[in-house]
Amino acid sequence: MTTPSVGDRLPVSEVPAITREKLREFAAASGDDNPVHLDDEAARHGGLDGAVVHGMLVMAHLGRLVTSWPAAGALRSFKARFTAPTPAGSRVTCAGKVASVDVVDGRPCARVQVTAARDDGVTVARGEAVVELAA
Amino acid sequence: MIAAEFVGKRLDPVVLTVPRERVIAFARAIGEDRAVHVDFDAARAAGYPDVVLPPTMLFGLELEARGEKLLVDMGLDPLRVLHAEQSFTYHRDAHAGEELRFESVVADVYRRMGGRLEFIVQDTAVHRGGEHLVDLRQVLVIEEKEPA
Repeated sequence: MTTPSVGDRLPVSEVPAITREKLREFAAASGDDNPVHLDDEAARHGGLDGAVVHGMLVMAHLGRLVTSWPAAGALRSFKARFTAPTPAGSRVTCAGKVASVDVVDGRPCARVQVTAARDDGVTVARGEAVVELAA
Repeated sequence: MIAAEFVGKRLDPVVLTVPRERVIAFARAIGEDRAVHVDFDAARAAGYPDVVLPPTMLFGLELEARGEKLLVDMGLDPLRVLHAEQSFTYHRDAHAGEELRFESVVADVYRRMGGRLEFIVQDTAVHRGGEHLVDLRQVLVIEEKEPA
């Protein structure tokens, strides 16, 4: 496999509609059962228009984008900023590109910038992962 | 406004063990189907003691164990608190069945946008016995209902 280069794009990941059923499943499995993700009324009380997808579910999909990249080995670090709410039922598109390739502690690593966007094109999360490159 | 004395507050450690079924359920909920996360035999064959926690799973486990006590103690309505940022720094993998210890501190509290937004930064170190597994940093944000 050729070494990834700066500017290389990861295969785009299209996450199917994140339904309320999926949010309930994620709430139970993750331990984050804040009602703003499950109940429109609670979400409106919190200042939102209705129930929103957990930021950490969006981040998990961004993580899969990186770890499923054929060049990826072990994750060194992963961070995300949540920049807009993702309404329940949204589809999300995850994309990433290589920002740098460096040797870190003796191993080649790629720094990958990732973004998640909802159906209307608004970016809901931006992040960065540092991942070892598979031998 | 969050009282300044919360900055530097150490939270009581959380100690928990993640059942294998829970790891698999989390993996399924995020669409993760790599065998080391969902198949015990495959994880063993790959050299792991049990299924490997997906990289973002530690966040919710601590939240579930702690609940919203800190936010309530701070005088906040948990429904109005949003997750602004999250980071993980990985040192070692965590697996099902291991006793994990979460040690957390309120690293910072600060205001932005003319005081309209208030941010809470919590740093967490996760250990297994003497081994340092992962560091987490979460940033929460709450927007004032009425301008001060």
